[in-house]
Amino acid sequence: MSIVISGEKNYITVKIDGEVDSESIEGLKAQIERNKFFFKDGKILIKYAGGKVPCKVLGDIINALSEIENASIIGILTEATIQSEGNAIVIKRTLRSGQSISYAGDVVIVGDVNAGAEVIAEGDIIVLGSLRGLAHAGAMGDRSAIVYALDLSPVQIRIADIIARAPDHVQNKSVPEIARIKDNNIVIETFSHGGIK
Amino acid sequence: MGKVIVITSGKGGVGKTTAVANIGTALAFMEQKVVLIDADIGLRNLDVVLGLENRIVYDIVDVVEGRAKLKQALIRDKRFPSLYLLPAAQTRDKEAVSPEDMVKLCNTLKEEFDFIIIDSPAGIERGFKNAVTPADIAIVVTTPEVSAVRDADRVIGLLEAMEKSESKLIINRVRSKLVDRGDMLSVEDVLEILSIDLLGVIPEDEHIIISTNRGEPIVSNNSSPAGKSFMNIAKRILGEDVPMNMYTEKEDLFTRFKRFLKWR
Repeated sequence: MSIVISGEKNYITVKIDGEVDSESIEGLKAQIERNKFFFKDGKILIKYAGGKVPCKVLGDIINALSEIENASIIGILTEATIQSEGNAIVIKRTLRSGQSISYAGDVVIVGDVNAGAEVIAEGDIIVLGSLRGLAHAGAMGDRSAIVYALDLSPVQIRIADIIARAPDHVQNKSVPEIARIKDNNIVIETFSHGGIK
Repeated sequence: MGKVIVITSGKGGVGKTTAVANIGTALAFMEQKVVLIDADIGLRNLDVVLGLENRIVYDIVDVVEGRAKLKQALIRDKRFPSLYLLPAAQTRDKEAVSPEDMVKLCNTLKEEFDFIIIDSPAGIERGFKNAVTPADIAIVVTTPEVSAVRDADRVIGLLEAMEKSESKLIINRVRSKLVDRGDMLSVEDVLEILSIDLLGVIPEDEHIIISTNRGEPIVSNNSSPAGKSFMNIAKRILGEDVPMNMYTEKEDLFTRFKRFLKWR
């Protein structure tokens, strides 16, 4: 696998080629560490030129990049489908108020889910953007389903048969987070390296 | 061939009719031939805002149902000879006109006018479809309020679904003092949610209330900040590159932080 980092006119591209494994994520992290100054305040576009992208790996890449101070990921380009364990659909646009996606599998959204929009999946929901609407993962009762977003600030999250609503006073945090069921409650945790256990 | 612009919002009371009247007047002032269509059948307002209600003889439903010719129903503005109004009917409802009727009507008007501006009713039902179907360009008006932004988002989604790819945004009634205090969504906050091209920002302005009641569009008033903003929007529609005033005074880190806490 190779990682090529290059500066474009307004943004930085991180081009990833070939199979991605945990070793290459470490490599990427090291490259970022060496070039901290270059990345700072930057807008980053991820280009993935390999085959299939496992969701977990993509999460790791985003996570590594989001550790850079003030940097923001502006988009992810991939010709391949983003693949999770089961079947998944990838939606490459923002879901606006009143729009709804329901799917018998995992749902990956490359864009935002705005307030008033809803995503219902039998599997996991992964939002590579802001999740401000309603997300229902594991809609057919799968309690191991998760909801992941670069900015997780939904009005309500449902996983299987459990509903959690946003606190009335939400504080600002622009870190990737993950919601899942623990002891019959939906808990939200910062998505740290190592990801989904 | 003229361009058909629809001005819409989803939510009521955000300033669609005011925007139509003022952008239309500004374009006419810049020597464009403009016709304004009031698509709010049953709740017509545009004639009042333009001060032309006493001149209505025939309306859009009369034209569609064949009781009047299009030329007979068009009312020429009393100030600008290149500005016309096609009024809505007040005694009928939205079902009296179909989207196909509107397309036919606009195709006829396109041959003679540079701009056809349609004032869409609030809501997303029949009246909205009537107004949007013939449009080449959609202008979505919102105020910096969470509820209005939500409705604007819904409307942009519908416009995308109807393949009206060219949607632009006007943010109306911005109060920079409230934004600075962190009590109002800023232009940037609204843009982050809606992510479409910004066409203009209109500040809150008392002159608007006076001008609306008098039936005199505000662009004719040089001392009004809102009037100037509408004039700039018209210039942008004509392809001129006018710098955008975002109506945010310089803010220190603390107020910015406070605003973040409030609205995220």
